[in-house]
Amino acid sequence: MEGQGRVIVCDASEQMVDAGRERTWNAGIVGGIDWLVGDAEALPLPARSVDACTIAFGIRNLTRIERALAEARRVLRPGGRFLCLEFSSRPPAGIERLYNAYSFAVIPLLGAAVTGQRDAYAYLVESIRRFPPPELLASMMGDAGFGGVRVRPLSAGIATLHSGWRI
Amino acid sequence: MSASRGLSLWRLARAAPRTVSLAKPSYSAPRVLPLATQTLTYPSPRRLLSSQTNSDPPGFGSIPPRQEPESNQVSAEIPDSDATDDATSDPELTSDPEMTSDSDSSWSESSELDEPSVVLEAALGRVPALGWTPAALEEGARDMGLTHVVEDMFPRGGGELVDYFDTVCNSDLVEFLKQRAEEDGVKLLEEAVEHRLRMIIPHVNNWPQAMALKAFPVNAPTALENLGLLVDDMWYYAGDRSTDFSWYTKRGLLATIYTSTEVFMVQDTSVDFQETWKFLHRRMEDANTFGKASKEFQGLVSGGVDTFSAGLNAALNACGMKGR
Repeated sequence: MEGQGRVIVCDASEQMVDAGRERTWNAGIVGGIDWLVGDAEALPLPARSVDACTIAFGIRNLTRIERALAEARRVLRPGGRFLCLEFSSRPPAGIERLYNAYSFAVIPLLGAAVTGQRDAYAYLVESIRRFPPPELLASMMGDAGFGGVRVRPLSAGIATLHSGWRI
Repeated sequence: MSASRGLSLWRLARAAPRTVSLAKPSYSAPRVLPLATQTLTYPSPRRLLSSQTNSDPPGFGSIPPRQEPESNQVSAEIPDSDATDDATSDPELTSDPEMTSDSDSSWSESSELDEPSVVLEAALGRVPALGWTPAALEEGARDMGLTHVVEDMFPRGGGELVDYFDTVCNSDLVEFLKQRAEEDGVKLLEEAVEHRLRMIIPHVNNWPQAMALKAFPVNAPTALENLGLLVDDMWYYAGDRSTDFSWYTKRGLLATIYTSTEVFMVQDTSVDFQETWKFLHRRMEDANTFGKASKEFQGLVSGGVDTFSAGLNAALNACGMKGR
């Protein structure tokens, strides 16, 4: 039924969950969303309880990506869909030097100027570089028990969307 | 206005629970049966006939031999569909007492794997009510104890369902033809066309929708491929082993006969489609007696000169261009 779905939002940090909740209420949405504080590598949800599981720009922050994939598989019902949006670890073809210069020089400075936390943005850039390339993540998803894994580059290769069905 | 609204929202939110309550379900959860995997593109008809699938595409792991899903068992296990719909569309989190952690690990040890054709097969049961639509795929998935989200696995929706139906019917036809390989060729062709068209009868009310779907550009290539394989199988088991141009004329002619009979069938209201079989018989007789390809139709085994090259030779002779 359109508009009748339920969403469970889970984050490891309570401040993030609070911030998300406030933004949602300010946008006028009060119902239909449940908020959890939990670890993606050990989700506080029962097995086979959700129809779809998504993670956006979060999976690269995890220490053990295989655990997160296994947890996603555990909580998904058979046939459920897992979607992962993440930055590509490799820069888009052709603009590698510009991309690297921008990432390592400009982004931390911008972060320092706007939020005052230069290290966080240096970490951001480094964590993107350390993340497995798209093909490796796709094969990790296959090993974790997802079938029909599809990889879709977005924004000229800056981000990648992986999707698979829980089999 | 927005300040007071924000304040009332804030008060409301403060009362909201931080975590989710896990409610016990009031239904018995549908059991998910262990199923073998296959590739995401469905097997060609000849692969359906063998139970060994050997190619492992990346991402699927090892593929055990395909097991028949026990359909009798499935129908006995499926709970009442209304209750299932309420339960699976119920957005409350449910903790399933049957699927505790130890049973979950046992599922992961056994081959609890999905097979796209299982969803398609279950969706065929929903076609009479819902048509060749993604809704039929969703309901079919729910019937098998899967979540409706698996319908996304079929981006062409109803077109993929029609394609699967054609594939399965074609492979059933091949089984039929193998048993009748000894019979007279042209008579076998007519029986084969009738047998294949009879498989549509359970869905004949929705068949115009299926034919329209097959005409869509996204579905047309696979639909034409299925038709080509179908007429090729029919001619092959009727005894044709031609290797010249008549291969094409024979199959084109049979495809025309098949398609025109199919169109006649969807508007036929006679008892047991008797008018359709009479129409088919008339078309086969026409092909036998008239037309450029009648010679190929009668001479099933090529070895002589077909009309095309005969005509070409005659023309060249008339122009004096062939040697002495």
